[in-house]
Amino acid sequence: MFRLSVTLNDQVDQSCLQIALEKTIRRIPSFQYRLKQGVFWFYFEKQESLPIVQPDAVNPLISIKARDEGHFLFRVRYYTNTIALETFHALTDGTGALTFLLTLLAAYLHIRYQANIPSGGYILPLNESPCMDEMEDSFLRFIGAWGAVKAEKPAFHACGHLLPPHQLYILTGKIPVSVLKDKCKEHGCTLTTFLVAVMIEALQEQQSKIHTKKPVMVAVPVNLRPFFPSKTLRNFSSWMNIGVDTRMGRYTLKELIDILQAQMRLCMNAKSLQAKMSGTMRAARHPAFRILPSPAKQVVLNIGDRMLGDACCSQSLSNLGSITLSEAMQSYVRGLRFILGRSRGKAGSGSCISLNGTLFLSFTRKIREAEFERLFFSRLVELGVPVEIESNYGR
Amino acid sequence: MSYCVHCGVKLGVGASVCPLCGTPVNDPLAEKSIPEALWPEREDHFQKRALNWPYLSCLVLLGLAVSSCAVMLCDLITTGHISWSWYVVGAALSAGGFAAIPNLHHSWSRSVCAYTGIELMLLIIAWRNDGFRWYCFLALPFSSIITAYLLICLRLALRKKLRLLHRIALCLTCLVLSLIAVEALTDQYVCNEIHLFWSVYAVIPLAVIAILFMLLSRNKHLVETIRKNTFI
Repeated sequence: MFRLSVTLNDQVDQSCLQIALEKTIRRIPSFQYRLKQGVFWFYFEKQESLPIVQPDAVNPLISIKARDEGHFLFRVRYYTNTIALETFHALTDGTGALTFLLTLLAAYLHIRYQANIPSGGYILPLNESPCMDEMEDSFLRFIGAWGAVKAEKPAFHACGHLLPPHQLYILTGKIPVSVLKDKCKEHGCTLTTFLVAVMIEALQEQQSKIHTKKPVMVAVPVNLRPFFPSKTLRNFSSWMNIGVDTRMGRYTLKELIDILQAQMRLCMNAKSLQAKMSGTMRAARHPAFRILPSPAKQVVLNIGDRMLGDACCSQSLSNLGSITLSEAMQSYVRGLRFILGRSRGKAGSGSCISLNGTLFLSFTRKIREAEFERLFFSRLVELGVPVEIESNYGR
Repeated sequence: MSYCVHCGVKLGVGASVCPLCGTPVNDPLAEKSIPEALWPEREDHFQKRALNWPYLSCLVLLGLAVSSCAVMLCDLITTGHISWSWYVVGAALSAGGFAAIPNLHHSWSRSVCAYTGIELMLLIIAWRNDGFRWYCFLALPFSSIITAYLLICLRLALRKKLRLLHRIALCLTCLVLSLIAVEALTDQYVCNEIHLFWSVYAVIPLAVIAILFMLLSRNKHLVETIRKNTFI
């Protein structure tokens, strides 16, 4: 699960938000589906009921109990001046969720303040009817002739005291984008590469204290839309694991940036991404897998996820990029945050989004210790990047 | 606005400790106004589905009673007397002993109820087959040992004051004793003398595991490391 939230300058009005949500879901009907378990597969089924906005909580992203949520796979929450969207990844990805949230926000601002927010970019026009391209499963359209799932080695994992299942610790660092961009220019790399390199430095430091020599890897989700012409609002993303093998010694920031850039270039092209996507799709279409009943498929997928998913990465960094809001909307919005839910195998995950020259970089974790986050943010400060920290629990 | 003297990061208005390292903030010039809370105080919890167990128990007991009566009636109609249906009644009594548990409030009354159900079933089997010797010298002690073992395990599971590994070690020790008792009983009934054989193969590894668990529970550092690495 993941969450996108927008902080407004003014208090949120619940009734206006409810009306806006009802309008938005009619425009983006791919969110009005429930997940049903068939004999062989899980499938989506359209439902007629409408979702209801809920008050926010200090521990977001608690698993959705479908029956309690009216069978919706997402929820819209509010608290003082915050509107948040929490959704399952099966329903959509970061781009789809951002489109939903900003369209909802535009509708809300129109109802609440009669503001005319121009559509375009992530904001869909509410008076238009939904188009089929927005609801297609683009994985099926862009499946290639050949593909393979690459086996990877288990990566280093941080350890710590597990929190109760309903708790999630969130630390958000607010960083000026201009300073970060200067640093990236200095090192000749992109913002994501720079942040991943600093994350690996922090992970190396953490690893040196417990004397293990497993590879230090960071999973970076990739939006597939720039590589394949798709307009879908459903999930259309992939990921890549990039990192270093620490058996060869400790890497400096410069070395890390060089290695990561080379790895990213290798992975970030349409052919490699298509091969990875096709490999996963072909595995799912294998006759031996197809004849399995859905509970057995779930067991196989869980084992596969444990072996090939979180086991192969030490951390993750999902970057939704820089969001530019129209002038009409900008005057109402103070911040935008993006956080990921509890990971199954690894201790935590990172995610970032930038708005109005501020990068909101959040780390969520399921353990008590904030050692990795401390090392990461202290290293940024050491590099001359100012960071302002906020968290959901006192510590 | 304050900065953490340890990490160097800027902290939010009103922060009393650094969220990264826990260093207390000691800023005499800090703003006294209460800052706007970013997160609500309300905490979501997993909602447990509350089943009405006593009601469900009554339904099951009623179902067992009705089906037993129906079976006895069928037996009476088809054979002219009650014969095989006694076994069905015995099975229903045994199941009923467990089904009645949610309606009882004391742990001892629950145990007695489940135990009595099993004993009644065994007694009916013994009565229908003239096997009272079998019942007295094998079935009764056997079921008593198993029930006693399960009761001890349940007691230990609920005794949160003891360390988990300690409790597991004690359960394994009880299992060792139960297995020895079961084999001794069987030997005594079949051969009139006791020769421990198969239970030894089960008892040795179980005893070793119990001792290992006992030793492990004393090594707090090792337990802590395992817990931290496995997220248990």
